[in-house]
Amino acid sequence: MLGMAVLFAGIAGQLARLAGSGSDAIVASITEQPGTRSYVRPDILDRGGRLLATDIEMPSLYADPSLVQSLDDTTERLGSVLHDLDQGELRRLLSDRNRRFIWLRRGLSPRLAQQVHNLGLPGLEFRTELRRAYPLERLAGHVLGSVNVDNKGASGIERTIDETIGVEPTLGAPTSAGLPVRLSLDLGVQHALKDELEAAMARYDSKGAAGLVMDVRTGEMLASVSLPGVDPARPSELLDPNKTDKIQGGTYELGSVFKILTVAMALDSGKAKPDTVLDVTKPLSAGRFTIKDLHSSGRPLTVSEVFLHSSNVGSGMLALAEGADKQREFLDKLGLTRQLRTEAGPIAAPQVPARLGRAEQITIAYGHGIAVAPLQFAAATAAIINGGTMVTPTYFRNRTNANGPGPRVISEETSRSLSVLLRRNVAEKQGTGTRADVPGFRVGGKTGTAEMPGRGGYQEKSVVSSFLAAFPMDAPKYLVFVLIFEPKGTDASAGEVLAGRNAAPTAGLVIGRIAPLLGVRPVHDVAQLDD
Amino acid sequence: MHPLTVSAAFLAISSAFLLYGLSYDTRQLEARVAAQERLADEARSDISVLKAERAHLARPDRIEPLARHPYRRHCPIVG
Repeated sequence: MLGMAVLFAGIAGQLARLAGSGSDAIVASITEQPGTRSYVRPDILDRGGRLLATDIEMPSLYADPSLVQSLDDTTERLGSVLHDLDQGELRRLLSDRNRRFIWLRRGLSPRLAQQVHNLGLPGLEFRTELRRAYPLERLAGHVLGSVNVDNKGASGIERTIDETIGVEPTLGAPTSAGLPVRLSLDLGVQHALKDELEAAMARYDSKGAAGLVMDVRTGEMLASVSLPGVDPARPSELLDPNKTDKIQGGTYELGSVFKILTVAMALDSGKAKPDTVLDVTKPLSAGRFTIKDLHSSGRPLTVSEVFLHSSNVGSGMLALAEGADKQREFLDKLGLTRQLRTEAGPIAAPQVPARLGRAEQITIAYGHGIAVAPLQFAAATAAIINGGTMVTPTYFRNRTNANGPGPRVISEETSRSLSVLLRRNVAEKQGTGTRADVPGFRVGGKTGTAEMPGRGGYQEKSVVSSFLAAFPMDAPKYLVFVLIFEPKGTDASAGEVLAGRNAAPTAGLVIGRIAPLLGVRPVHDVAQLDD
Repeated sequence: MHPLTVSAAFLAISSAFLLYGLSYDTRQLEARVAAQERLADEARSDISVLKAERAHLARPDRIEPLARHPYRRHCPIVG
């Protein structure tokens, strides 16, 4: 009887053990891998669903020094495959028999991994890790940013993904990375912009170029290019000061494109109308400085003509008539006096004088003495031409639509007046932007040629040429901003460095390519817009 | 021996065999699941590489010259 009781007790115990042990331990024993981890990241797509970044598995090589049999043989033979491996350092690492795990090379190509595997060296092992792949190379490098060796976001959109969406750690095997991140960028537009800017750099023998395309109603960035470009797969390039993102990583005095804001301020306050006449025949004085027009017309000009002739004196007079407080308030409203950020990172802080004296008021009116990032200026100008409401620049699709239009900064009437002036500046012979015209697409825009500061003051021959364009001007939808850094007077620009000769035609070429991609239809019988 | 005891012992031994069989089947199934998961991981990895390769081949600076080529109808650009 006792024997039977023991038997039953044994069977009950076994039943309890089987019931208590789940399958997790067995599965874990099959799949678990010890060691460091990498992070699973979501794919990044453009607005059309085309792939910009994805995770791929790659083998990483590590060593267990306690299992290495011949130090000399291992060092020599591994060095014959991995040529850039420091053999002295490798020898030092492998001679430490107390360590069980040393990374030798992370993210090997499959071909190299196979060659190392074929060596058959004891103590060398592989572990699969996730690495970020950027199949489009340098096309949107500054915007995408980079990841670190563990596949965590280090800069740009990649870092924003970590901060806002979050990334999950993994032990080699890929898991679900969640929904892809869809950007506002359009690959076709991005490519066309980059292609034209590269051609412009060669044509005008310039040191750099940058450009952006923005939807003026939503603030969505359809393209953002800064040349020389960077490859996000080579994070060191992002740290190269010569390859800074000129769109949002640097501030520049942008010159006469600022007159868009000055004229908008004057018209919106009611102190001037498009046909108000200003006596611009005499230079303006401010302390020891004298401000005069490069190509004076020798007669008084209306406010419209001040814009079309790009008169520095006229712009300065409009700013002085407004007053320092109102001018600063207007810059504040447009967000030009505070630092902004986008999903690609912080925008370089604007440099604005602490106090607006007479000289500062005049120079800011024509875009000197104030330095802002091109993206920040583009966002402010978008508000001027979209009907008068602020937009927040964004690289994520549909992010700003949910919040509705931003605060109003100017009236719809003023916005309309500026659209007319911008169109006239391209369409009329007296305008400075005639070379930006693209038949049928109703382009408007303003030139800016700003001398760059250097030792002993501004340098006449070292300029940033820019053209801020918008189209179609009967209902502005897209803003195109092109900047050419330190162009030379080449045959293509008739020996001049003025924006009307280099940045304006480049913007026209860009618009000619992207307008069909964006679904803007040419209209060839449109009547000329009236003032 | 009491018939009830014999029946109980028989039932207990039968249960033990049944449980062993179930446990064995479960391990087999788990091994198959693990193998399938490995295959799925490999397939997922292959898909990632193929996606990246496809995007690389379809990049605009490669497509554009091919699209503008006069004999473009005869050469597939990307599958």
